[in-house]
Amino acid sequence: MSQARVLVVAEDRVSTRGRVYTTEGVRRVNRVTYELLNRGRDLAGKLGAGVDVVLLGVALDDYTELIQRGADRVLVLSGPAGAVGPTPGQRARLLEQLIREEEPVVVIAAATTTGRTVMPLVAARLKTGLTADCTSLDIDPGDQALLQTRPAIGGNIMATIKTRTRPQMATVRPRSAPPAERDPARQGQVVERQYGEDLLVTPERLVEFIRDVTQEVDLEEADIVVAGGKGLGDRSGFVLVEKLAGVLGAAVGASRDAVELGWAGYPHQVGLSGKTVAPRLYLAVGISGKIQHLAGMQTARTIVAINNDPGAQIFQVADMGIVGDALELVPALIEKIAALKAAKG
Amino acid sequence: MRIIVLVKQVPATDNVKMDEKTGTMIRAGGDNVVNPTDENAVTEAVRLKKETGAEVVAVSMGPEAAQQALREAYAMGVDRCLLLSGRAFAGSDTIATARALAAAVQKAGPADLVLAGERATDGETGQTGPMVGALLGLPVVTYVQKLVLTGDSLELERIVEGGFERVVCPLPALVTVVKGINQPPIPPLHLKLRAKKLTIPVWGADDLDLPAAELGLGGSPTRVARIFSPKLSRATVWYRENGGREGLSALADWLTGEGLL
Amino acid sequence: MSSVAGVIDAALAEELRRLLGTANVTAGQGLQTIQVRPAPAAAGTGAAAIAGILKLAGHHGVGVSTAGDLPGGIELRLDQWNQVVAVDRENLCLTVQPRAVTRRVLDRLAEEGLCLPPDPCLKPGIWAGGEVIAGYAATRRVLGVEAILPDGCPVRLGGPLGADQLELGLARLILGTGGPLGVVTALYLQLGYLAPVSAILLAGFAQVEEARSALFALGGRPEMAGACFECLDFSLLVDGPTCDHLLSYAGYGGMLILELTGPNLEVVEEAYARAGSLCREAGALEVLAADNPAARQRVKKVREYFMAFVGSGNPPAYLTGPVRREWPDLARAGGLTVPYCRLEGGTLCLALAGSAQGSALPRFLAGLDRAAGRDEAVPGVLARIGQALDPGAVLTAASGILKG
Repeated sequence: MSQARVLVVAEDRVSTRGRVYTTEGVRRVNRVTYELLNRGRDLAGKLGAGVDVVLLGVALDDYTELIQRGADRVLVLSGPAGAVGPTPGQRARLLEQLIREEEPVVVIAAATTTGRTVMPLVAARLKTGLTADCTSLDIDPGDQALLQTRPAIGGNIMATIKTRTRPQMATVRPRSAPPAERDPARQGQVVERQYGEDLLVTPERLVEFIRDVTQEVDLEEADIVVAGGKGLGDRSGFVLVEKLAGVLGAAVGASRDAVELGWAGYPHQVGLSGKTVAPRLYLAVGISGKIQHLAGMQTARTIVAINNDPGAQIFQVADMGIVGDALELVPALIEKIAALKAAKG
Repeated sequence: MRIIVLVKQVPATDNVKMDEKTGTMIRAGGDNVVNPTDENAVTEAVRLKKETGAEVVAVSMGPEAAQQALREAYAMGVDRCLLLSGRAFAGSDTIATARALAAAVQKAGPADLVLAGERATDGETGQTGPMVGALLGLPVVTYVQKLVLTGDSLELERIVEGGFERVVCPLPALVTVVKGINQPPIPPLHLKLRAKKLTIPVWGADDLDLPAAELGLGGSPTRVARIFSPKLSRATVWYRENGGREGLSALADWLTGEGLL
Repeated sequence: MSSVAGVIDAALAEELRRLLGTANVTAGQGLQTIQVRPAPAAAGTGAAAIAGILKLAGHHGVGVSTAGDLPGGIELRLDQWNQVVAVDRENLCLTVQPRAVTRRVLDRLAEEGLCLPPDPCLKPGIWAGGEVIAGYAATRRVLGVEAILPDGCPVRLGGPLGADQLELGLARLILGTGGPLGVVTALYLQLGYLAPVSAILLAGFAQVEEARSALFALGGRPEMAGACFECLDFSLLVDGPTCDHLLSYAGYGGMLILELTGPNLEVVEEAYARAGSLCREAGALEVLAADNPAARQRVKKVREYFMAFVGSGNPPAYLTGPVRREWPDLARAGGLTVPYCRLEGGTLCLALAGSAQGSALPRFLAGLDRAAGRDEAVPGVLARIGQALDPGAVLTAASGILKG
């Protein structure tokens, strides 16, 4: 079937609760794969193409969910047997080999540490274009080209990019699109591919994966993020934000200033040089709202800001602006929420 | 041993303000800085230089003014600087840039270790480093927050979603580093003054045996079709009276309404 | 105005509502306190409203305070009085209302290439009151003040064209005491031109004494007049938690930070090359140069880390006054440590740790008088109030003026 193909690179993650990942660790499909499938289906529809999902060097015990969420074909490329887990280098070799064989017109992957390493390696070897961190993808009705839109200079400007070469490769920002719906009636094929050891042996070797236990709720996955900034005055002020996050079951975010003053660890930093989050609620407490911070949270669905300076720039992107002293308001909010939860029983 | 560190000059994003009326960004003031994570890469290179006596070469690609970024790298302890500049490079996307840098590393090298920052704060793609590694046929390890060199092998710790990975990689290799890896020091005055008087060699396209078709806009597979400014500001519902307390109940009601409690 | 606490009754509340409009008068439960918010409107009418309030309070024998910490009195809320009234370029004078937020005043002035000349007391950050007053209580940058005296009579002391010593003395007293002597409605502050280019030098010394003597030596040189010098006692940090910003400066007893400003890059580069060699001559082990945004940011963090550690919770007390080389030693003789001192524009600011507790302070203040000679001493007010100081008092950044 010479129908054009849109190739979605599945993102997998370690699901073991243990500290160390070993070969026995079971890998699951990361939710962002279903967001990619949603986009893949849309692009394929406009191109009259089929959607392939590829698992790079990782095997699952069941592929029906991938098919039900939109994959016409699931391509399982065998990994290096017995290795602790595929390194980005090994995944890049598998992906490059598959693309040379299948010649898809579009290849999309998640803009995660894996996607942002594998895709550039493959694009360079294939001498084709790659656009990073796209927030929206579309097909130009005129020339059927992939329209790749991404923020530049910290979200100040959006640029729509086209790629002259093929395949058109792009990484997509997690949580920038809803996951594809699950349709039990969908049918699809699972294709296993074996590749020789010579293709898979790479100089670098993964020794172990260590889960970061300090991250109870993963910042980028959380529905609610409570973030604290310099306006909280000192470490004890910041602890209030952590308590509030605890009561809400939310993740703790921090501005660059708060991290640099040592009130929170770098993994909690939201913004240009930290993480990008797009939760259902972003509650900014004592954060002035510098551009670099807005770049990391401006796509949150609802933004609430608490600050004692009515002129703080954070209020310009806030749906709800609460002007007051955070050190008074946060404890009051914690009590109010605790009471509501207790009442709910 | 030779370490080559890739350095980029980027606009200082600190002086970017938001235009209340249109809700878009305006950049006030024009001073440029060294890309923050590249400063971490230089600091790591200089640390290794002190440990192993390696020679450290800083390479940058950009307009003539990008020499300032190389002077900053020199003041931080780099031995030699090299600038790729010229009209032929103008308009390069990440692949065309990577081709030029890879050729420069080849010619200035060979390099036992190539270090670069994890991403640049202006383009933000984080692609150039890995692409240079791929074009040089080097193993690439990205998002590194800890690097230990023993003999001719690296022990690395790289940040990934949900935790971090320990990786072992032989030299030669290309490594991109994150902000948390080290704390760039403030450069000593005597190196600062010497950096001012430093003459930095500039290589054009013809110094690299690369066909012109592979460089600049012509050599770039991706092209910007359209630029627009996102509308950021939202219509804020304000709660200013008595210390903002009404806002708390409004927020609590919203949370219950959304089923988030 | 903590005169005898008269009784707040409905009549007073009613009269206040008639004067200011019901929206601006809120009576606390059981009429314990009344909050009034006179709108600034045009400077004239706003001042008349305050005069009305003070007259009524005087008639009813009830106290008025702007800090709102006076039970059984009228709390005067002036947070709407936060505008820049006028920027007079020829006389380099700024007229500003008392509750203007310092950072926004500086941003506004920067757009016109002007600034409030750097001053140890000037805290750029916003804090609760956002008061310009407290930061300017006693500096020589005050050209004058408009205030309403307790009897409701408006007064203007000094102004754009400056004032004689008596007027300025009175203005400073009203400012410094934060309200009891008069409610300030406007301030006249001296302006300076914003120096577009600046660079920072860090000089590490083995001992803090060497760093401090370098501060006085360099501070006195004419070509260094515009610079700002800070001396940090790093020996205090030896057992403190490590701060990665300090790793590359470990092993220094004292750190001197010089901030040099100038009209253009050449002038500033010439100055900091010169300052670098002077530091070397004064015994600096190493001189570092921070002249780009990233390096300047790191110096800011070194200061913040040092202040947080030295202040360890409560901010250190500051004493600010004319430059006297022997003061730091006098402070030590009085059993006080001087973790931080700053010399800028002819003003010396000493952070005194362990100052307020115990009897060390009065001896130190008395010592100041003797060392500096009666007339040049920190203004007499400090010495008089100093002797009467009780151990609990905190000395704040007010040259010569104390807040109890």
